[in-house]
Amino acid sequence: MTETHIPLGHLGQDSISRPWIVVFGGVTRIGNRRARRAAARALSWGMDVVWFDGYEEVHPSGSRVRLKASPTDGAKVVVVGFRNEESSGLAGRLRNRTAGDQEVETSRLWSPTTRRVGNLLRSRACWTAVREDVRRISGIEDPEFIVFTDDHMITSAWYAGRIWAATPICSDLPWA
Amino acid sequence: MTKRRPHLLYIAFWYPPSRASGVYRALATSKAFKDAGWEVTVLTCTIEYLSTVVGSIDLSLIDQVPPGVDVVRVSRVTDFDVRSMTRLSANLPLLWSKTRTQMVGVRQRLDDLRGGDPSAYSFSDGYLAWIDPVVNSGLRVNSAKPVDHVLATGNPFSAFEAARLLSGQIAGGFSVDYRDPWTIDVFTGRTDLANRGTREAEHQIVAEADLCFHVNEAIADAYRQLFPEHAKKQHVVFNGFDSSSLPPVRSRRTGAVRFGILGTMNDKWPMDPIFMAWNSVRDRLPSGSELVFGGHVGYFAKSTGQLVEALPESTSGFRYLGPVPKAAVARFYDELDVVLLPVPGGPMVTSGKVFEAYALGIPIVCVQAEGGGARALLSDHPLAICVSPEPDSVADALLQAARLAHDLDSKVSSGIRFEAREFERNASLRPMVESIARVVGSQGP
Repeated sequence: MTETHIPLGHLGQDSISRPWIVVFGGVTRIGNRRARRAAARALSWGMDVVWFDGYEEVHPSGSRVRLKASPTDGAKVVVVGFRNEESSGLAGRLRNRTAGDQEVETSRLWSPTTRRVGNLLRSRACWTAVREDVRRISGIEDPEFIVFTDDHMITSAWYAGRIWAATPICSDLPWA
Repeated sequence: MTKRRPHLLYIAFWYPPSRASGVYRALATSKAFKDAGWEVTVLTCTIEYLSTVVGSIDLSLIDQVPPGVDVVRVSRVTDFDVRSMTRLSANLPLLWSKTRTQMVGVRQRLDDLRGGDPSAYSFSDGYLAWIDPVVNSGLRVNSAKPVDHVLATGNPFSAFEAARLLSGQIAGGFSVDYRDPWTIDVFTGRTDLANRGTREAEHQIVAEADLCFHVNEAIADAYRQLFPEHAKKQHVVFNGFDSSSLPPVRSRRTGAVRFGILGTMNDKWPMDPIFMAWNSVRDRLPSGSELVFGGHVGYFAKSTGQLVEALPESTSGFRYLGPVPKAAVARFYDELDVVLLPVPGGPMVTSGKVFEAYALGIPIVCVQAEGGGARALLSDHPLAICVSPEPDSVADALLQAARLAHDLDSKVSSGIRFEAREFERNASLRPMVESIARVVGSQGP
């Protein structure tokens, strides 16, 4: 098993060489854990995994995965980190907005509101971050599963479902 | 001519490989009827639903399904299908989800104001979409092999409605097994929290059911008061323990004391006072003493994260052992000196684990509010210390339990094991089997 970490914009059709799944691994800890589990299970089935990971870099232990499965020889996981791109977009800036000292009174009302708005837009923002890479691999064989592992990846799963119309969309991999 | 064996159609949404808390009672119920000579068909949810939506599953439990029990898995029309979302809702899923939740409440309030019953099902339940598929599957089962009685276990309480509807279309009657109360709040006893449609649905189900079973007297009493005209239908069938989950009777041990908790932790468990108490008494316990927790954290995968984060560091003498398969439960208990029972709620909450703990014959520290149902069950247990969820009380109880563990007399443990035999699963479920058999007019083969 090989595990490759690449930034956005470097994913190519040659990244996949066998039946594969795409995992929209989300931006939360629980999403990351479920993504890791899905990746491990797919590897144990001998499938390649393309994992869009919005959790990495916050917690270095995040996607630097301890994939405990026994992957079939040759299966690989390609982890595409997108946290920086997502958090530097509009939704991320709204979410992370903090006021200066002179703005304390305003910020009491403003910060929670912008944070909420940023959160509501986050799913769309995640898709905006990853969509070019997803489109870049849209020409290869359909994935076996589209997995989204937290609420912030629903938009990505929905658009991926339009690209790969016959592929099941699920929040966890079914058990064999 | 050979007499036909009675046929039970058992509607249990949570059944192996689900690892929901109600699974063991459901499993034991199907086994009890099978052992009593019934044909048993179980209608339950699909494995795909458990793995993809609930996100929790224990495949080892499938081996526990009694041979000869037919299991029919019925798809639920899921209320969440990514592909069916509109472009707007897919782009703003959190906003869509919040609006949708609000709209359900608004619709119910409008229904109440209208005084009408406009929807197919007037009650609230997240599993309404399962009712029609279950009824249809039940009718198919009945065509192939006539059903003598339908038994439904809730939650989800949609199973009760499915049983009622099904019973209306076949010859057999139906009964319901409440693992929790439906419209009575299990923590406060209030009956006015459910909407009118739900209260009416439950009333209709109880009125038409042959029998209603409850897991303790407090809940049965509450239902007798809620439906006095149907008081005689309310019966208690305790949860029990499986003999296979018990290790051999213990003898005295010296040295380090191992305290242990087993179960599926949820956010209602009074864990904070336990961890605080543990930190305060650790230094007063023999060197090497530890507190271990074995089990799942949260029923649903999505609820696991925060609970895991709340667990103490291993440096505090605490160890999380992870899930304990059913086959390893006896071994888990065998290594304990003291068993801890964190139980939320009041008189109506007993916890299924209390029966296992009771039968172990080792000291028990039960942490539950005064008047709690688990405390009531342990009131005659010679090694049980029941305390309220306050750190100081729990700390004293831990120290006292450690002393009891060091002075443990195996004769006392054996006596407890003997007394506990009435809580063994087969024994505890016998009244249910017998009373349904009487209703059906059959005493078995």
